[in-house]
Amino acid sequence: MAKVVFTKNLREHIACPETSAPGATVREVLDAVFASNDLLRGYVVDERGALRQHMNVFVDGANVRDRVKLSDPVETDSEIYVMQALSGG
Amino acid sequence: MPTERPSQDLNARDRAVYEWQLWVPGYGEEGQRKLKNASVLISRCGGLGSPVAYELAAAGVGRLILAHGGNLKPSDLNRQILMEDAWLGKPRVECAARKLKALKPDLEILAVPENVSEENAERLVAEADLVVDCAPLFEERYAMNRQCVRQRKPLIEASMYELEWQLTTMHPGRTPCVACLHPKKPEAWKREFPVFGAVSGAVGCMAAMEAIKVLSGIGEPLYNILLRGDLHDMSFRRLRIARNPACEVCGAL
Ligand SMILES: [Zn+2]
Repeated sequence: MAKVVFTKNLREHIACPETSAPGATVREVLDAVFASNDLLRGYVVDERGALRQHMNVFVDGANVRDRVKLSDPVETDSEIYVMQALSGG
Repeated sequence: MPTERPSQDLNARDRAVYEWQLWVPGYGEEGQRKLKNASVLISRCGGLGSPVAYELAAAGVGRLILAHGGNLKPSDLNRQILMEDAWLGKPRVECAARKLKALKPDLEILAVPENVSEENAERLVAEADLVVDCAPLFEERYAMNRQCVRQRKPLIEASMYELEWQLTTMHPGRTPCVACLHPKKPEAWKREFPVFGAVSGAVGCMAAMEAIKVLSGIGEPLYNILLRGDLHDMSFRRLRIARNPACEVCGAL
């Protein structure tokens, strides 16, 4: 099961505690997480399932390459880190 | 091009003031000379930009362009460390310039009482060799980014929210630009955000160090790395980021 971590400022907008979910790609893991959290799904991906433009997802510290299909591979001990841009100055 | 400044060598006073940093291996007089002859634009001297400006002035950067609009309010005083209580109600950028001059009377300052916008970004970026982006609004960051890409200027991106922060150093054509990384701003972003001065101060000091590294050539700047931290638990992450070949701003480089 891959670990899925959301940044704290995301957790303030939407319920999204750290969790684990099965899957061989980013899409599969996130779909498993979103299955019980429609609000989170709508914030992270659009109607087609592509990553929204203000979101960034990293697998084991590397930005995902495929923002549309989320096909980047995930290992069982991977960490998926989900963040959005900050702009405070 | 920045306003033409004749290249200046170090003098006896510089050698005395900067003695302790001249000892840094690989830096030395050559690094100090580069700082002395550099112009740095800082977009806003608020919570982040104040320590950036102060540390760059302290380190001996020769010229600072400060873009910061508005008058000083009480709610600025928990983090904008170039400000002072006696200046409430008066232009912030003037207070920042005074404070910097008190530390470094020889420092050249171009104090611009405006925030960065589509209208002034081209002119302001043209004044600088390097830009440190400390603006609270995405619109300011996108305007600055477009000009940095157009003018091929390095851009240090520092930002924060509450106890979280992020920092990266961008070089047009070599690293992602702001639009590669964040094509659109978050829907939920608000103008006002929770902040302790100790958080903006910590990130501002790291951003200043990135500027010193890029200008002097020491160390390894955060190229293609997004450093992200959360001071709630002092966790730091080095995230690998890459250019977007389809980026509307820098894709053609
Ligand atoms: Zn770009």
